Amino acid sequence: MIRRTLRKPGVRILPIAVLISLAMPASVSARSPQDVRTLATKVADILAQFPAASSEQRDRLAAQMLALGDPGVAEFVRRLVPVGAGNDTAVRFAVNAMVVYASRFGGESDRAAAERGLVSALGTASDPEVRAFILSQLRPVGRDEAVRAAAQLLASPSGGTGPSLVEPSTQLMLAIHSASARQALVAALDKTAGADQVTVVKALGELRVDEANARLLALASAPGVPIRKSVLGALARIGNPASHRVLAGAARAADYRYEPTNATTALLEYAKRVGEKGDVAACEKICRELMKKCTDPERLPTSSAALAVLVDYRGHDVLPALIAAVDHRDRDYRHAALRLAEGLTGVAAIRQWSAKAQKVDPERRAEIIAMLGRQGDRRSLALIRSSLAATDSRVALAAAEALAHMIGAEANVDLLPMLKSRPAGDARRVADILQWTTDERHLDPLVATLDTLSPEAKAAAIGIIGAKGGRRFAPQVFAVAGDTNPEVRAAALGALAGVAGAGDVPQLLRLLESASEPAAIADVQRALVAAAAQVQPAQARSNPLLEAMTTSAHAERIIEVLPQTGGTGALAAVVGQFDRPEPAVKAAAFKALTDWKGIDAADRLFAICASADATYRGRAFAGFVRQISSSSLPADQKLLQLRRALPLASTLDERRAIVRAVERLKTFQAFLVAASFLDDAQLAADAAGAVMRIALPTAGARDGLTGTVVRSGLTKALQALAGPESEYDKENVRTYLAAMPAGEGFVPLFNGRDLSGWKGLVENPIARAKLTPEQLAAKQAEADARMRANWSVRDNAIVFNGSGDNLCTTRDYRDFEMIVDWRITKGGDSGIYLRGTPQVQIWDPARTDVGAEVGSGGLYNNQNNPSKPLVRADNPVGEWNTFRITMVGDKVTVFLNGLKVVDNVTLENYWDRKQGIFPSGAIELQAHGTDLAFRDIYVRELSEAEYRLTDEERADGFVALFNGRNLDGWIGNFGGYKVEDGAMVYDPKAGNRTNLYTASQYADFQFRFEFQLTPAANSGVGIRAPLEGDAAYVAMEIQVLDDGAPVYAALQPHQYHGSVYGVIPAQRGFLKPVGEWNSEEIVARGSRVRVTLNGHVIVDGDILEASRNGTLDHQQHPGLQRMQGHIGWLSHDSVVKFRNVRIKDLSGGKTD
Amino acid sequence: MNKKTNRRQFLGRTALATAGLMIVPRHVLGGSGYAAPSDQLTKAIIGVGGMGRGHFDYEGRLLAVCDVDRDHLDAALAAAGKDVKGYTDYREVLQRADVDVVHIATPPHWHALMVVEAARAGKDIWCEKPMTRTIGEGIRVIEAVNQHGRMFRINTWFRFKDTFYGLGTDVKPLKKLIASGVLGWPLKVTVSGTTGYDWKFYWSGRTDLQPMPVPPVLDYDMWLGPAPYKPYNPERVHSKFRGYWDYDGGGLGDMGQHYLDPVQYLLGKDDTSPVRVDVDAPQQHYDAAGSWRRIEFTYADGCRVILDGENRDTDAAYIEGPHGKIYRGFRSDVPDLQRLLETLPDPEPQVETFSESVRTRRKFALNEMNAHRSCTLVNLGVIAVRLGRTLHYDPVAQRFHDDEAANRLIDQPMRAPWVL
Repeated sequence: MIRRTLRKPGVRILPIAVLISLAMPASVSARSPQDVRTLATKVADILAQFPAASSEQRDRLAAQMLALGDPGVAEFVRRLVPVGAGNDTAVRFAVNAMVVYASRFGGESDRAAAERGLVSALGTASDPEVRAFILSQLRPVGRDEAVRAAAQLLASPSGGTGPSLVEPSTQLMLAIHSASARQALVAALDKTAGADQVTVVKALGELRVDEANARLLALASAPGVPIRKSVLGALARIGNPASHRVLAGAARAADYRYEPTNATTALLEYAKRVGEKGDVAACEKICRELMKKCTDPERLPTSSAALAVLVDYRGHDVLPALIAAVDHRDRDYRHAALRLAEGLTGVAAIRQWSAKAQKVDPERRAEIIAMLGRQGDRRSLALIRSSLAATDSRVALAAAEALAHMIGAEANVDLLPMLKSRPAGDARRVADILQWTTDERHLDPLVATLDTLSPEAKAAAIGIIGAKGGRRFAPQVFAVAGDTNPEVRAAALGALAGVAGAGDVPQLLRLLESASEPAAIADVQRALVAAAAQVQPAQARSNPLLEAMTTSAHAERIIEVLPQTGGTGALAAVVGQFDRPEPAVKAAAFKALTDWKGIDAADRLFAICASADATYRGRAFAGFVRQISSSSLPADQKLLQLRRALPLASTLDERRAIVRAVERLKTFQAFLVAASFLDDAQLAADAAGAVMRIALPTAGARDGLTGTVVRSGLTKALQALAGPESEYDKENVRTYLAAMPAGEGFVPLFNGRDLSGWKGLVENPIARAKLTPEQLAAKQAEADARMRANWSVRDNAIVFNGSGDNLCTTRDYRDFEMIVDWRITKGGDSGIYLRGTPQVQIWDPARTDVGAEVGSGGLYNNQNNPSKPLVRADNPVGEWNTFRITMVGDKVTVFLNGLKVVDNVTLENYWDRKQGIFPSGAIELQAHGTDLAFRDIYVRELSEAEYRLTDEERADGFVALFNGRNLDGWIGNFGGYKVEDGAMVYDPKAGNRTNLYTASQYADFQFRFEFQLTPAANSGVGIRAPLEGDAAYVAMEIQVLDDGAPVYAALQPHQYHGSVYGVIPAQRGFLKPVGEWNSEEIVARGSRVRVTLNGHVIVDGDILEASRNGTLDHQQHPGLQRMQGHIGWLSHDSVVKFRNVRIKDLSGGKTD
Repeated sequence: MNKKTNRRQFLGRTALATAGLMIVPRHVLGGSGYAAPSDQLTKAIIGVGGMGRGHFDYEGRLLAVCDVDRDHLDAALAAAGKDVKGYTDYREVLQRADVDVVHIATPPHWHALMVVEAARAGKDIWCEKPMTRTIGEGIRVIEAVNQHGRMFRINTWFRFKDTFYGLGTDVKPLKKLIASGVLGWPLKVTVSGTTGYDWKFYWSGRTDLQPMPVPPVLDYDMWLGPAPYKPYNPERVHSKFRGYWDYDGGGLGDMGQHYLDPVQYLLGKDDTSPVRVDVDAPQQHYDAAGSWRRIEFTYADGCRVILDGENRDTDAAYIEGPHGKIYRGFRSDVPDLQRLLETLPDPEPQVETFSESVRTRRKFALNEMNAHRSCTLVNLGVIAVRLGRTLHYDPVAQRFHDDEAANRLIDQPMRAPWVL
């Protein structure tokens, strides 16, 4: 909106009456001094806003709750009802909001108020579940008052019926863990019995309540595992010396094993506790005793644990025990001890470990060195370095690894000599370590040592140069590519790919020519690819290779590289070579075809596969599938090509390859193809995986498939899913099925067996309408008879034998999306009639005499609107093609084989050009001369609610608010708004100037629409609006304005297009020129509002924050407090058009 | 020496002479007619519902399965073969001396208890993600596993193998790149649909659950175990439990550790945690987990991890540093990235099969220490979402600053008689 008064710069005049009415908002906050609502109403008003959409809103509401004082809080809590007795979800949200808000740092008075309110409610509530809820809500805010209340519940555990409240009360005590909580638990010990007593005992232990120790000791001989276990555990945690005898006795009785009372653990825990309290001697005594007792493998973990406790309290004093542990025969135990040793650092420790390392066998020495490496103290480097020279490989390699771990690339100085000094096996391992310490910049020292190394070490070193991309050292590597030692030679050849540059291509071609071993040839080829990739320009990459091929004695070696270097010349050369007689050349050329990048070689592979050439058939098949699958063809075309290959699949693996390729296409037809394999026992599991992956949305996308066919396919797939992750998969499928929106989706128009659902053609729609029912019935019977003569079903397809009339659906369709596959023969001609009207054209593009060279898919009979397809996308005659046709209103969009050929074009009425297209009619397959076939015919009716929604929006939960035909679903100014060309048009001259609103109300939403302005046009979108009043104030207005018009030169930013009028300014400059359609999205979520215009976020703010210190226009905006209402067009005095209006209700996702 | 000693020693001997020193691919140990040592390890699976059945296929010879739902147990036994014994009480499984590795595939509210008990019983442990339901439980798991000298792995793996979601590569090249410093420091990581991840908000729970009769096949009290008592409703158990705070953490609990563990590894944060968590979410229900819009973790050095639940950052890079970005699909604005990668040092190798870890006693790539820290991200996120406010965390003390309510969620009391 722009108030007329504001059009004069600097002048702001509002009638006094308006100002007064604005200052007395309809919606009143709880703190307003004029608030005359009753407490119950205030509570109800607050409750109505739960759950809050954001933390800010939650805190605001919680503050309002607390502001109502103790009676107010009580009023909320009073509304809790027992589970099963009604829905108090909003109340529970509110209570939780209050305690969370009150628990914030610095909110002491609120915390106390919340505690007080809940404690008081605890006294009045009678239902145990409600009381348990209150106890749980006290956890964030509870202190002494909560303890007092919970203590009463502990004191009379049997009060009331239903489950005991001892457990939730005790849990609250544990959370509060104050002195008073401990006292309360002590008091409860004697008042409880059975399971309740176990609960209290356990809590006394966890809080280490020494005052309870004597009474707990008395319970230690109580019968029953649960109480015994709890008492032992509690005694252990309390750690009173008086308990020693009992705990030690229990552990002894349990033979120090793992058993139900956990007595051994309790003794250990006790040791820890007394250690913690300072009686380290007692702690040590127990631990040493346990270590002495637990020496068999089964009990060694207990021994480890005792050792660990000892280390905790005796620290370095335990070093001798750890050092002794290294002599233990059990490896697990040794390692556990060495892990503990990691924490005991210091020069003395290192000295002792060094000494020990000298005395033990190499296996243990290696273990000590590994531990020192993990410990990472540089003072152990001396020992580690000296061990590099150990004769035992385990020791030397442990040292090498420890060194690398500790000092990274610095270790190379020590590691490099090992390449020379160690035996071959060790040298290779050292090279492995160098791989992770070395980068390209650190290669020089390595290269410098090359000549001193044994052949094995030299080979390993060269491997590192290659792996680290040492192009600087290409000469050194080439130099040994012909080395006499085979290992060195092989390593050099292997490293070439990492070091070769563009200039090395000729040298590599020479090497390739002279190489003899297969591995060597492969290495040089890899290098050739890497080197050629650096040749500029890219088109010239294959040239030196093609040139060399003419004189080469091993042309096949070059051919094998050509797919990587590429180019049309290279492909032609390869195709030519495949026809040559030499088997090696032919084989290489074939392999090149299968390796070819892109789809240029695919047709050739298909031909080889179909030619029954046994040598190449299988590999040609695999190559074809792979190339199609990895190509950039549209999904529809990929699927057609894969289905074309399906009859050529002769093995299970080949059929599986098709399923795997189909699985990557996220289309409805791919889903059908995948699902068709579910009945194949050998492929069912693969098919099920494919069905799932096609139908379910991909991460971060909204591309899931829906509808009846999808639902049943997925349900069937559930049975067949298998493999390690299948439980995940099944769960995902079930969850997706449960959340799938209702709706049929695509339904088949053809069952694959007969012509049910189809009928013969009777005249044209206009002539047919004039027939009496009797006449129509008679003619229909004749037409149906003719249909059966001319149309039939063969191999899952509807075929036409060449004479007669169109085949018509028995039903009529309004707006729909359809899929149909079709195939014609040479000179063929057909089409698809939409709503009984010709036609989406099908013809052989070779028929240039009739202009068919433009291709199929055009709206052939159009005279005023485009009739030709945008591109020629036909597959060769005799192959299948896929149409996806969408018809909405009078507009048609056609995709042929995945390419758009008709883009939202009006279909003219061929039968009567004076009138528009019929609103509904049959879909017809045109009979026109020659052999035709149709298969996989599916239609999805587009309901009005889906009008113009994209697939993504539909999947995402958007609904259309405007059906494109009339104002159904809208209320208000029907005089001023009319529907033209699928748009809502406001004309100020046509009627009054009131607003037009959605019939429904929305709280949080994502609202999208398109609009078109006229020069200086002024309008607005009211959101969360009541039906009466000036929406800019009693609700809020998102400005719609041609804000670049000269009359608005003095505009304030908070009046720009998109601004929350008067409150949050918008960024200007993203409107399209007047007369073009703009797209806009308004997201309102709690107090946050985001406006996106033509893809640019122009407003993103918080209305409450923005208005906290007054609004930018200094007006009262009580409407900012409104949390829901209608959405509507705010009518001013300009012509404005709106269309494509859709919404996603973001409140719906909330819990109810 | 009993039978167990013999087998363990056998396992030790069959490792290469350099056992404990080098990472050896399993195939090296194999060979025709030779049973690889990993096949000699024995295992038991606790929890054979949704996740547990997947553990049948992991390494080790299965001896025992355990579940509190008779139907799950029967189905597992039917699938497992005749030598496998069924249990309804996991403590009996832990008392079997012939079990080497215990797989824990129960809902998360049981994980910590079972891990600690298994460690006391001397078992090595293979535990489902998320590791623990609270930060406090994670601390106890570390203590028990280390004290008893056990080997531990979490059942997620992206830090050491497999294509990492939308990245189209495994984590290793990313680790190389980050370690090289090419991207600069600090880094910002965005985990969202834009960068190739899917926050599964369908794990949101339902509110106002009505009490229902417990099916006779289910021991509901044992299913709840340490969790607070709530009346039975089928929505709580089995494949639905992730939607309730008492048992898991919603979508964050489900996928969080899968997604965030590699981030901790990449950023070199395996021994620390963020110092601050910011959150943007609708109000959460006290019982049922819901969705959230954004969670942002900030580390002391300024590195940030952003969980963008709504793909609000439509052009976000997966990793962004001052000098370069890595996008979904391993696209980058770093010039000549592939060539650069060739020239960098490799990351230090990790132990990537659990049987090797058990055999050599080298810590598994994803062990109790680093898994606790990555699970801490999940649990910090859960606490921040539940409280709906910014939290400040001390990664050394593992407590929150100035927020007693948050600290009361670090250790949540267990229902008696269960105690760690």
